[in-house]
Amino acid sequence: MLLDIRHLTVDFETGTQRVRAVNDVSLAIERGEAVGLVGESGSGKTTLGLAISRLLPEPPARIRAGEIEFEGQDLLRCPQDALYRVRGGRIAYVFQEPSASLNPVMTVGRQLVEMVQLHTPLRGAAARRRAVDLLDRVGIPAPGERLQSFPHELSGGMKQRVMIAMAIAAGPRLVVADEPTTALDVTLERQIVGLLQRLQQELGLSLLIISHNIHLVKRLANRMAVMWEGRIVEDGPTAQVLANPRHDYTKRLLAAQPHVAALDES
Amino acid sequence: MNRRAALWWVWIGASIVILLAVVAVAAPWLATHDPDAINLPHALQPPSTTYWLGTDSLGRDLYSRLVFGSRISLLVGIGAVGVAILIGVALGLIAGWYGGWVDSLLMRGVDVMLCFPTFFLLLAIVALVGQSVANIILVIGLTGWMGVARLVRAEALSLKEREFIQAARVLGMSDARVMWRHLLPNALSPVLVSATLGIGSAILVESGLSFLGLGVQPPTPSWGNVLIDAKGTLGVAWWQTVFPGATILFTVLGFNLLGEGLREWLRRS
Amino acid sequence: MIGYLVRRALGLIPLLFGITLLCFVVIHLTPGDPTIAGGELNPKISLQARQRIIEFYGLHDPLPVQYKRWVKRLLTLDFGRSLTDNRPVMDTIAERIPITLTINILSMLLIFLVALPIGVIAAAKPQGGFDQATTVLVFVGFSTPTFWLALVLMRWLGVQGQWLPVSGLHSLGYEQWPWWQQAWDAGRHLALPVGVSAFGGLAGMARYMRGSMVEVLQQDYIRTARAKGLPERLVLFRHALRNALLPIITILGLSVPGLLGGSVIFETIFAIPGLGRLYYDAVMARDLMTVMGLLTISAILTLLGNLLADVAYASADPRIRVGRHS
Repeated sequence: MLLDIRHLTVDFETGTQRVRAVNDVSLAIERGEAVGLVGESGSGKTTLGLAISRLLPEPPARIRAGEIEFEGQDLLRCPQDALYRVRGGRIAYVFQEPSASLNPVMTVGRQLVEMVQLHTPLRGAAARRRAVDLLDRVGIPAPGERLQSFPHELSGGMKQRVMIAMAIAAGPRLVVADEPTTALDVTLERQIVGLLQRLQQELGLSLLIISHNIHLVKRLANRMAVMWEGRIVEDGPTAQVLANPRHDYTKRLLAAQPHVAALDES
Repeated sequence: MNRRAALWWVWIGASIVILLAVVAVAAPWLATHDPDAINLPHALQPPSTTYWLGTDSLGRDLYSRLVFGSRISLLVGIGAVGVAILIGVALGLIAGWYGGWVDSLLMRGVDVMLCFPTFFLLLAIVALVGQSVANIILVIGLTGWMGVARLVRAEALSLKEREFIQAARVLGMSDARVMWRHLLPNALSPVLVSATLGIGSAILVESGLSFLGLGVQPPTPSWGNVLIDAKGTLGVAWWQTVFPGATILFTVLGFNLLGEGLREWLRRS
Repeated sequence: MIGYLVRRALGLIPLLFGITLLCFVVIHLTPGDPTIAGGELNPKISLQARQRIIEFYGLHDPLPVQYKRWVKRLLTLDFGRSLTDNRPVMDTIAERIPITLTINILSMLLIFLVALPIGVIAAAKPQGGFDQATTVLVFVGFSTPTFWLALVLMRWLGVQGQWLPVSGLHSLGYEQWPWWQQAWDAGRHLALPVGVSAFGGLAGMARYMRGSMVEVLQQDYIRTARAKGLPERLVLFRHALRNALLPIITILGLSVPGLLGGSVIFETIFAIPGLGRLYYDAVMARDLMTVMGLLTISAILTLLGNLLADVAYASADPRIRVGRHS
């Protein structure tokens, strides 16, 4: 088992209010598995995704209970520098808004090279070559020149590819993608989905796809978990969950997306 | 800062402000001596039981002068801010409501005024039109309306498109009435905050002007002009330097705490 | 980027127009001026002085003629001759600009060195102990009259403690000293003026820096930086800081009027022969020629400061420097 989340509970405390975002959640991801985490906004799925690498801001968020075991390490109790090595190096992220997720005052190349230098022994020209290689791998034309570009000079689709390139730069085992295509139009969505599928196969990645978009999850994930009000209410092979939803909420969720059963893309 | 902390600031600030008001109003009863009474044999006395905060080079009781000085500070503070608010709210509403070239013109005017150091303008105008308290109030107000104008303009711009404003216009309300009855009450909170902070700022400006000799003229005591004597007696009369300045600091701090506290508290309401 | 700057510079022209207009209005506040109804007579301005002012500004001519003459004179920076020493106003101003400029630049440097780190550290742990202590200090800083601070420092560090000189730019016999002793002496003389000047801006700048940093730290790209596994230290100083500094550049540019105004106070107290002191002396002597000259120059300096800040901002922010190609 690559990632084992056991009985995780996360609260958000703001002044006098306390909201339980993640309530006693257990989820496991195997090597090479692609798991989809589905739910509406407010269900706690993003919080869960960020909690894995302890990326939640500790005030106001507080991890109240549970364990997160990744490759044998307890991420909730390990020392700070071990956590820094895991982040980016073993678990990588792709976020929703590519325009906001890249530092606007740094070149794309600089941000990519930084990732390479952080987690691999490569330096200088070798690191840059690796960066060019990565950009090429995610399908960005003229990758050598693109290194000098600033984020605002790239289109949305290209920015998301850069994010994906950064994510795979250090050869992680798990990539957590939080609404990776929500900010993109349908054509771009297909391209990014195709890219993620290809990379998963080529690199043997595990994926955690967090999205409210069931179509996306159907295409990418072989297992699907449904989250509602901080709890996981359904967890099983994608085809099975879609065909025979057991929980009430899942049924309602699927009913609200009329074409899911009809689609039969691979 | 959460709401509770903001409320603390409001209470502490308000206490200081109320204290100032009380002292200003009750000055004749709180003072121990006549603030203008010259008493040369007792010049430059350190603080004692007779002269609580010491005396200046003319033997005047510093404590009593500071007590009466509070009247000037309060008067100038409130007066100047009053002037600034009147001008700023009026211009801000007009600019925000009518938009177009009126707005551009007015905002350019604001930009032009902001190009000049406030103190330079103040000194020049006061020197030209004379040093009365009324003039000082007017001039400080005339150089301080720009912030309020921008605030009110921003409110007007954002509220202009809201439905209740549209409704009022459809019902045939005149522009002036809409501005007065609907826009203004909503713009009130930022203006209130700005006014409170402005009073503190006006007190600082007045004391600076008076210290330079271009503000309130002696013998009328102002917290600023008592420091003129302090400068001359720097080495020998430490009480003349410490107490007036501390008074200014304390008072302005009160207004700042109140203003910022209000701002935070109103933000979360 | 050149295009951007040219547009910004052109946008300043209406401001210049407005400035000349405002100055024009101010000069018409001169008592005894026939164009103002009931202009009262101010006994401090001698008849002769008033005559010269009226003559120089042509206050008896029709307004449009006056204004044209005023603008023409401005283009050559001709502000007439001082009423106190009869030297061309612009000469005196030009002499004093370096001094005031030096002090203000040094004070801006001091603000940078002190306020920025304070703001950054306070923002790193919002509502933490350091942040709260900083907030208190900032408030006290805002509420302190700078002239009082100058007096207090003067007394306890200068007169009483004898550690720092309290007036002028250099000691007697300065000219005969070796250069390094001159520099040390100049430094000692500048310590208090620069310190007092900086104090005014410190509180504000620390607060702005904290605010800017807090806002930047909430952005998505900071989350990305953390997700990459960057130590928090690098996230703060390599990713967040550069972005947080951008609005600070603009604020620095806007601080010129504040610094000039403040210089009136500390230059007077510490007897520094700079622009602020010149202005004060001119006002006290009712030397209106110098006053008008300085008033106009100060506004122009403000515009220059803004332009400089725009240049700096445009070169620091790649979104403006490089433009959009996609």
